Amino acid sequence: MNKLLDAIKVFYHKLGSYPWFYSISSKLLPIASILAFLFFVIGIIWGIFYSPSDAIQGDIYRIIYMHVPAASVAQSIYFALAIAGFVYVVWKMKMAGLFIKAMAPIGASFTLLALVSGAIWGQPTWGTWWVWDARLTSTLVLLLFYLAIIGLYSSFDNKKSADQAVSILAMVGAINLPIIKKSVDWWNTLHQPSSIRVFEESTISSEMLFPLLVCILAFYLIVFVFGLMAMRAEIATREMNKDWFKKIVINND
Amino acid sequence: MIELIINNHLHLTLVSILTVIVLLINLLMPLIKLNKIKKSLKNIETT
Repeated sequence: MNKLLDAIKVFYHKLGSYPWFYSISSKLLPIASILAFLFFVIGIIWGIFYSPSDAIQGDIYRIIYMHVPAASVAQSIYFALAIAGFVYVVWKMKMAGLFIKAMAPIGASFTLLALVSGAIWGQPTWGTWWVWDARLTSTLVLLLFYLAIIGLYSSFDNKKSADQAVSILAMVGAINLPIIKKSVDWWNTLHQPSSIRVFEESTISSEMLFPLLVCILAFYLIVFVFGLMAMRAEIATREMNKDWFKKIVINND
Repeated sequence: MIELIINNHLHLTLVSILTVIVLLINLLMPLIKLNKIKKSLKNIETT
């Protein structure tokens, strides 16, 4: 147990180092990219072309293979931002601030994808693009929090102050996550309750569920790849004048 | 695929296109940013 704790401590300290992260991410990226691409292709082809049609919605329900994974990663990214915000505020770990800066645009884009794909799905099935339903509104609030983080960061010249400010905002916004999750249970919403359940039997047919799970896994892998790439780009922006980075660029690493 | 698009699946096609756009933007933005920095550093080194 002590050895595990020591290993976690060592990993935590290494994670605070830009050169270490830049080097380890260059090794992780090719493997993660291949896995993400494979899972995405398999999940999307399985879901769109080989899963059965829905008895009521027909083929339009296949939007689920993009809408649900996008909504899932959008919320998970924000949860990760809130944890990073806490780490930055308490321990001033510079990588946590960088993580928030790099991941916020990715989270915003997936939240937008979830909202727009939901609207496109809602039009033929609900008869409307948008309603001020609790699930939709709380997801819109999530997008606004992402945009606020991006905007707040760019309003500072000093990176340390920017990291501090967005860390606090990321933590404050985390209050919205349980609201999104529970919105379909707490309020009478047009949006259906969750179909995938961890502790009970899912209300979706297994023939539709398995490709959906593959798509969800693919989106998480994609976000991992995009996250690594965005963090590397942000490290480059912050460290471009440092010798270690110049050395890597000259050696074409 | 063409059959899917023709048979009233404009909505599904729209979401697919949107997903591809979101993925491409997230893929290309950091690549462009990183390459720009690397290029400028290399230019400084050579001059």
